[in-house]
Amino acid sequence: MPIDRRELEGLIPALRRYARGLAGDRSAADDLVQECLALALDRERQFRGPHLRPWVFAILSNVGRSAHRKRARAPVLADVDPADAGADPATRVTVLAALSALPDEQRQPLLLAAVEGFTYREIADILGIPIGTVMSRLSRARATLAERLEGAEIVALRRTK
Amino acid sequence: MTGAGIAVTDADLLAYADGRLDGERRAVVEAWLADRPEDRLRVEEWQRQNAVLHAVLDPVEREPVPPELTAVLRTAPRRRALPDIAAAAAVAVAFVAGLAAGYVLWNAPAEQASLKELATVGLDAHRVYAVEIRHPVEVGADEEQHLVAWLTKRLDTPVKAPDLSAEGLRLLGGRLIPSGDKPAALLMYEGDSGERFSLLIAREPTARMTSFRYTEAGNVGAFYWMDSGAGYALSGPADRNRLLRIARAIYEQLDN
Repeated sequence: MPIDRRELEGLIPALRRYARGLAGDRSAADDLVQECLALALDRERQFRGPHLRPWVFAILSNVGRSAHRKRARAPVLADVDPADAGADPATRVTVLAALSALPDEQRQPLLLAAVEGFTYREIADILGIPIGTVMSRLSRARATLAERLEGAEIVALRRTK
Repeated sequence: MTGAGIAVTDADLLAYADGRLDGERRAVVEAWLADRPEDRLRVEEWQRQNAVLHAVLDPVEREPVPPELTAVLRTAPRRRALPDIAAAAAVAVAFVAGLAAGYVLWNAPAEQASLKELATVGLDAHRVYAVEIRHPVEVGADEEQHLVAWLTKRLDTPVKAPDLSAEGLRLLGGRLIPSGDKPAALLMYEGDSGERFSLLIAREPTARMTSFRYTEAGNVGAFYWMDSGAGYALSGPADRNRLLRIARAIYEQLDN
């Protein structure tokens, strides 16, 4: 079914956030988003509804997966842009590096759950895997991330909730 | 103790950390955690991870969206109006051939790579040849018939030189250039103030129609896309609107 261009445009900020978590640096992430948007329009006919957001995140997950395979473990270049608010640069580099060390199959459910706020059921649909697999990958992602971030100096964080 | 008899799994703990449990189940997990400091530590660690990830990634959401991303949404060429039955048949064929809808997505990377390369080759060629005063092309527009026949033969795909006079551009001519290990055609056009635009045409046997993509480097920009059997990149001065108008005109003329 035709997709609503305005709704798609409204998803761009969140898609960029997810892509940054997948790709690490800004220009690689925006390339993924650009490809994702173009594919979404090209594949419009395959959209069966009802919700655009998970469908587009599924496309970005696919684009990200293949792009990451191709990059063959390039080092993370977390851009340190002073204009960025939020975490301090050192924290950002540490966290993005820890993320990039995770396999895609763990990084994607982690970001979708922890940052994008999808339900586990939605994540299973987005990634095309059973919900039990989502849970076990999340569990492994969190364990690995905990190891990587242990001892790293994480500063300038606001507490959530 | 509420729910002492109900096993709390890792999945419950994860859902608790992510704030996904309803009241009743949450109470069960909280009761469980009260007696189990090691699980509580894990849950707290996970919540700290969520906070860290939000702190690092949320600012991205507040950045201004780069114009080339919104441009993608404005520049998608209209799909050909297929009769409904033909469209349904095409979808069915694509579906069967792909074994599953996932095929189209999995197939995307190769397409993505050659598309991007098209833009790079086009931009590079434009930078090299568009500045040539005396020899911008190998075969001039005065020999257009010969030019088109020659390029068609070398590319093994029909090459036409679109008429861009409605856009204020006249054909200067064209040349053969390498694109990867294959020959490609570069047609050059010139406007009234001497501004030049190049159209790269490369044979892409497996190409399916894509949207227009835009890229820019320095003061040169390019719209690039694929249509059945060929890839195109239009490069010129980085004026997105003008480039887009010209790209549309080309797309429409070549679309049959």
